[in-house]
Amino acid sequence: MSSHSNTHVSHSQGAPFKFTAENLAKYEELLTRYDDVESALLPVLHLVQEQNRWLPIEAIEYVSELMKIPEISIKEVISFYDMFYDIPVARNMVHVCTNITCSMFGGREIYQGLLKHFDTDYLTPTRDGRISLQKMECLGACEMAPCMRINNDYVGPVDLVSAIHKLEELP
Amino acid sequence: MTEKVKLKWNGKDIEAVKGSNLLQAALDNGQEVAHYCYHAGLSIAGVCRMCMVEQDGVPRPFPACNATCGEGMVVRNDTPKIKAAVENTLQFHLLNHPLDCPVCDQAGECGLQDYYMKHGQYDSQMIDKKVHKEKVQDIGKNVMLDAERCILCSRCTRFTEEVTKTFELGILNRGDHAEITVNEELKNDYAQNLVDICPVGALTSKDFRFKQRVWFLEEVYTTCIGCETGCSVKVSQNKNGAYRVKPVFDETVNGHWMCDDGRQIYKHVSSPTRLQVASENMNGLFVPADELNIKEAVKGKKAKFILSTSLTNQEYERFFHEVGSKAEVALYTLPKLGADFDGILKRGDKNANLRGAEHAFKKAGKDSTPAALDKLLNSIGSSDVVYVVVPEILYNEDHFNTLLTKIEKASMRIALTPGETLSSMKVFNYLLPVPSFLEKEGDIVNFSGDIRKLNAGLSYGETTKDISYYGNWVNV
Ligand code: SF4
Ligand code: SF4
Ligand code: FES
Ligand code: FES
Repeated sequence: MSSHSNTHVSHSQGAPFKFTAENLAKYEELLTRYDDVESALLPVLHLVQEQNRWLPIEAIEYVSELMKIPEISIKEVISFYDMFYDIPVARNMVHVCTNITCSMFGGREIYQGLLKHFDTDYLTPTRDGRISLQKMECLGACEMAPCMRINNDYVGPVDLVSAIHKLEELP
Repeated sequence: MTEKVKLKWNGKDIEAVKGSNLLQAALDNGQEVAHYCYHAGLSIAGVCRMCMVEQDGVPRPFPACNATCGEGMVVRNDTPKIKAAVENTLQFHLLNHPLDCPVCDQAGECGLQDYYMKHGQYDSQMIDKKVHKEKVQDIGKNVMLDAERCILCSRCTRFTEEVTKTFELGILNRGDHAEITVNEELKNDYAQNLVDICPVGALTSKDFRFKQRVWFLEEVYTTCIGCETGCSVKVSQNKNGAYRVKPVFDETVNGHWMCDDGRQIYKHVSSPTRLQVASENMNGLFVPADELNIKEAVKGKKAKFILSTSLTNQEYERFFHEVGSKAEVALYTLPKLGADFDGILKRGDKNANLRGAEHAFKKAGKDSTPAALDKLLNSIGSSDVVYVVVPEILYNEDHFNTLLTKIEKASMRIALTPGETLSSMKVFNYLLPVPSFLEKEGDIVNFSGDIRKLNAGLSYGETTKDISYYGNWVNV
């Protein structure tokens, strides 16, 4: 994720992180799906983000302790993948595809237009804390180009106006 | 017995242990193979792609470091295909390199420079801007990281995973943004090895940085006197002094590595405050003195010697030969520091040649135990002259200072020191220089009873007189 930020300082959320009882049960179930603990790291980090939205240092320490995986190895994984966030993100995550097909249909302009409209930057939550925007490589939905993903829903084709409209509706 | 196989390397017959590493076999047979990520002391990563070879009957080139030796293999790394592969790979490694060799400490012993002279393209084909990264990062334990010079061979991350198992280093981000990153800071006691294994100038030593160009240095192959392990090391030095200590591969004792404490052992040797000449205490200030006057001053006094545990077997022997039964002799042992053994190399017993000392004492019919030292200290009277051989490496100065408070009763107190003049030495009437470990040849005996060799390098002062020379004074 931090390929766009130069800093490697893990951010603190100023409070400890712990799985809820429900997520702890989910975690145990995840472990049963793989031969070794390391293999479960990706789904486990997604689970943390489900609960906490992003991955503060407290969560990294918690997972490291829980899974007995060195902190640095978890940071390697987090920094490798774009969909893990080591900085605070907003409660709604919007992925705008800027890969080849979507770009041909104006995806990059939509992304830039949205940043401008909401007066924000890559991943930076809007001032009301509602939305974080992130440009993305192919979302695997080229037939909907230009498309975006709002939380877990795909929408497309969109243009800047309809995209703004959809985001304004978000809670 | 290990089975040998015969193979052909660039048309030449070579022999190797069956199933052993192909790259290592080639290197052992004097063949040149460019490589960055392979290190005999670490696991195989196969990431730098510099060691490519072709084998008869195998359709594609493959990295030699990830292959094993088999009977009748016919392997080449001198074909046009391989040459092109290595050239292109090197181009990739240099894509974002800052080309700051003139200010880089690795210059002269750098894998990039060496291979560039061989496989380089010389004219840059880069039209895009280089990716910039943090160039001056203090990552702890005297290690500096320049992320722009790094070629991501992963030797350093494997070292912290496999050797120290402390997991401080990792590769964060991906593609051309990928970068060596430290989790908080380095915390292990072997961090200077990272500087050694980094094939380029990305990891350098804070201690050695900007001090010397490596081509102005000569190596002295000797033994570390930092603890009873006795690692094989080389000390880089020139006429101006010693500059650094590096490990030398030694299968029986230290393998590829040494600890960070051992890196410090050269410091006193060429220190500006090293005692150079016989000196006399003038109201707390030491000024050069005439040795003959000192010799005169000890005449007729009863001599008591307190030896250190970092002398060579030969020194002990010569000393006892000179002194015979004319003086009381005891041994000062350094106190334990840290764990008995840290599981890698470092030992808590810092007495480099305790075994040699004990053996020599026994042979001379003397007692080397702490009880005997106490006895000597308690018997000190005003007509005595006490000689203290100052240990070369003092991890715990307080402990030594306590010893010094116990010799105050003697009317004459003389230090024989291979190092710097410490403030606590004011207790002495005279200081006399003796050679440091870098100025003498001889043997020491390590923790397992193995004989380890000390070798002499350059001499930095008037230090040719060893303790037996002063021991001889008991005869005047
Ligand atoms: S810092 Fe040095 S040892 Fe570590 S990956 Fe980079 S080049 Fe290799
Ligand atoms: S383990 Fe002991 S002998 Fe080896 S380098 Fe460290 S201090 Fe020197
Ligand atoms: S390029 Fe946008 S979904 Fe494939
Ligand atoms: S040495 Fe073989 S791939 Fe790096």
